[in-house]
Amino acid sequence: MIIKTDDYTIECTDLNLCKIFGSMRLPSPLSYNQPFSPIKSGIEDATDTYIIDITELKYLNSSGITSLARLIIVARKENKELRLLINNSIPWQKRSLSSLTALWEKLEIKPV
Amino acid sequence: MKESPIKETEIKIKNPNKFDLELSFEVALKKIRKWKKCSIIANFLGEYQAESCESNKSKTASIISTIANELIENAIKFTDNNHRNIKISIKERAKTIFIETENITSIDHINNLNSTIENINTQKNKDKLIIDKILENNSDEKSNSEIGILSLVSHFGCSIFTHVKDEDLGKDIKKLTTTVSISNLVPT
Repeated sequence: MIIKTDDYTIECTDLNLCKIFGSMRLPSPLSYNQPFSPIKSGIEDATDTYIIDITELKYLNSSGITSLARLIIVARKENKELRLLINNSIPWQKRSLSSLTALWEKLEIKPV
Repeated sequence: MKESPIKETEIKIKNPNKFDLELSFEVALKKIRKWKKCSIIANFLGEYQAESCESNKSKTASIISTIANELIENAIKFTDNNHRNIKISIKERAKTIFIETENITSIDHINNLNSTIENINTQKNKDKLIIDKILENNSDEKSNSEIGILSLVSHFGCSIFTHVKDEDLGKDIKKLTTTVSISNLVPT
């Protein structure tokens, strides 16, 4: 499944992998439910470590970080391993995401 | 009934009229109703500030945009419906950058914001505060989760201050200035 808007693209075309590109600054965590729903399903149906690649996600606001954290909580509930591929040259990714590992012991945050 | 006093976390700036760089403008909320405009304004402030840097322009622009966006989103979410103008400014003085929003908002919101600021300033493990907030709000859709404000302090090393103007605007509302200051923007 591909969700494409003027600002961002979410590609969940491979089993166990999703890529998010662009800039996501939606008004509330609720407004992320729809664009993140294929990721949530992907985590629930994952047959191996599920990978979320955000290396080309330039911006994500705090509502988006909250929603990303909720996906991690879904992985924890489903006992699924999760890997977050990040880009350390994007300041918010380098600074804001490391604390999320406290949410789930099987979350790996990997800079690429 | 006597109104309870509003606590402030005011910043004291020496010679507040002397900034190395200052940009300030006011927008009517109805003109920025389309949510994407928050991001456009934040990106503009980032690009504008970054132009005065000799290096790390793109990281500076990104950090300023991230900080400004959280402040602007917060101001828009909590501005009183009958007073829908927001003043936004960015200032630089002695390598410290100040990003400010000024809006009219409820006393309840001011007290909640000040309580969040006080909480994060006194908490040693700031990441734990954020994780606790995420878990607390996991099934809750309230828009004032305060994770943005907590993240600015915890992850971006910002200081946050509020100032309330004592103007007679109506029952239970006040003019609030929220200032975020950041030094050492892009550590080498």
